[in-house]
Amino acid sequence: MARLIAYSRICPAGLQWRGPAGTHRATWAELGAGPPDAFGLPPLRAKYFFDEPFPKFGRMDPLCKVAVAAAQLIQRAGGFEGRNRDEIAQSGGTALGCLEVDAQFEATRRAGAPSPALFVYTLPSMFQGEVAIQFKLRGRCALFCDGERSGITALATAAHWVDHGRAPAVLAIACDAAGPAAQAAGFGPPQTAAMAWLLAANGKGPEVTGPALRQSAATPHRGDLRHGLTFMDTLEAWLTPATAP
Amino acid sequence: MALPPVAIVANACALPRGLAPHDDWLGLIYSGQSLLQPRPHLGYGAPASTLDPGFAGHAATALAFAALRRVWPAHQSAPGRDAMVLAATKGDMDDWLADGRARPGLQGLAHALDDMVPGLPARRLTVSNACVSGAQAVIEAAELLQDGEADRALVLGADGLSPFVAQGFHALQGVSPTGARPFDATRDGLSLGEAGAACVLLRAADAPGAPRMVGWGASNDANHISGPSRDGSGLALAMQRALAGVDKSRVIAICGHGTGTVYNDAMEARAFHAVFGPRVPPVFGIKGAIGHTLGAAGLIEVILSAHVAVTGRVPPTAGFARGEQEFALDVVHGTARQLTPGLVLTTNSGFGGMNTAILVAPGEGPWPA
Repeated sequence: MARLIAYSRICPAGLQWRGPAGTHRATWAELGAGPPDAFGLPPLRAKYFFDEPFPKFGRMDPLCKVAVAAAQLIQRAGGFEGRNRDEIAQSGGTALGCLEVDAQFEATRRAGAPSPALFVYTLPSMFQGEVAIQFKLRGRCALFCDGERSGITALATAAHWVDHGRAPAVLAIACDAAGPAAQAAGFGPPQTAAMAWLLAANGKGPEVTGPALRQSAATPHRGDLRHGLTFMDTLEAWLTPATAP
Repeated sequence: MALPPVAIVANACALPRGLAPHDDWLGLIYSGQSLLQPRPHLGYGAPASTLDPGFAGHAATALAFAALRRVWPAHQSAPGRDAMVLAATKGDMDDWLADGRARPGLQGLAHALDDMVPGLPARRLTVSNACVSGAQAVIEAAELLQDGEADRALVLGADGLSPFVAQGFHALQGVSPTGARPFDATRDGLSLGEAGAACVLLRAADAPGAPRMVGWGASNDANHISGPSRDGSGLALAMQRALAGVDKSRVIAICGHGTGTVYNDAMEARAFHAVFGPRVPPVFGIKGAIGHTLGAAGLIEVILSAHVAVTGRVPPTAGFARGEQEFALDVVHGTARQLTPGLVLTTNSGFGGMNTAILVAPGEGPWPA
């Protein structure tokens, strides 16, 4: 049975992480960040999440930033500690994908100078690659783009993999990076946010049942949802009391 | 505990019209010919799809539909027990590129198929893992069957070739000016293609005689965001997972990812040697024939590998003429090679460090055309 070892969230209210190393919360004001933008978060800087300088963080696209930051909070929560990182898998979910960087790359293309630095981020799964590099995770990866159900699918898949012995531990990340392109494409009101969960077959934590989560994948209704925050609104109820503040 | 194998009971591949008849993609592959040719504004790649007017600008949808209608609904099962796994990297972007308002990419592709093909399984996953998307979708579908979550799984992979994608790869200096030459000593980049592919999977116990997937594995290099690991250790890890418990000497051939880029093919050769030692089975690749079809590639290569497993006939690698001494690979080229039917391993690697390996075996029956 999959157990929830660690959990993190990045949302307009700030950061939260919980795991073997304890529970922590921080508001953006406490971190010295500026006010949130129209899409929910202030500009993300490495220093909010990492103790050491991380220059590459600044070069990542917004989706990778918010996902890597969520994974770093799992690290801070002690989620990866004592685990064989060759065997830690990743399941991911994103509704908006890399829409913002798609738009930025398209602008450079139309201007006659397509940017290779932007193009490499025009795949929604790139955040799993960045997470793998940063945390040396070499397990299997699957990225689900199932619209509003994406985040739930990622978590349900993680639980399923653990339950069926497909992986001893799975990092599930649900994330969205919102911006003008998402708004123009009719995703409204788009929000930037990320949640991460480390599920494992061994370790201390509440049980997370794959079948129950898979049932929940049918519950969201289009039109009710705010991308990114949707994951939290829907999933927190499922995970309570495991992750209740 | 060994898990039950998964059978491939129906398959289809839709390629752009070119040198070969639209519906004889296997004939094209076995002929050793290449579809690749110069394309205005897109560089050297597969020819544009000849689309029905209603599909103008929607190559991924058109190709997915063309493949889908050959395998579905003939293989539908009881309501509620079917699943569909869709794979793409970008899908169709034309509408979004035109006005920024339509649902882009994968969601647009899924919605378009729903509109055209009533009754597609409601239970579905949409996978997007760069160039391993098609293979990853097959793995997810196979596990739905093995784990009892579905009785039948439809897998679809499709991508269209847009200026967005083509110019992106050009910006990365990844495109060959003269056509992809997988594993060749003079290879200088990939060629892009577009395709749609579909297959139907059942638990092998429900499809005696059909070719089957008997093992698979996936891994991440955890090394570089857009380049392969130099030592091939990530791909080797995926291959070892796929080959767990299998006598490697039973593998008759490897369908390599073989993009034709300098670093990818070298990485693959190192992984093959790391896993098989000095006795690497004969290797073949198809991206010199049809280009890199992105989200469809892995699925096409699984289907082709199943064909090789059943027939023992290994297709030539279009574009290959002379190998690198360092590789020491036996790359099948020129004409097809007849072997005894047996296990075939197919591998894929993609941006973000993704790797997959899938092992297919013949059943006792003929190829399920």
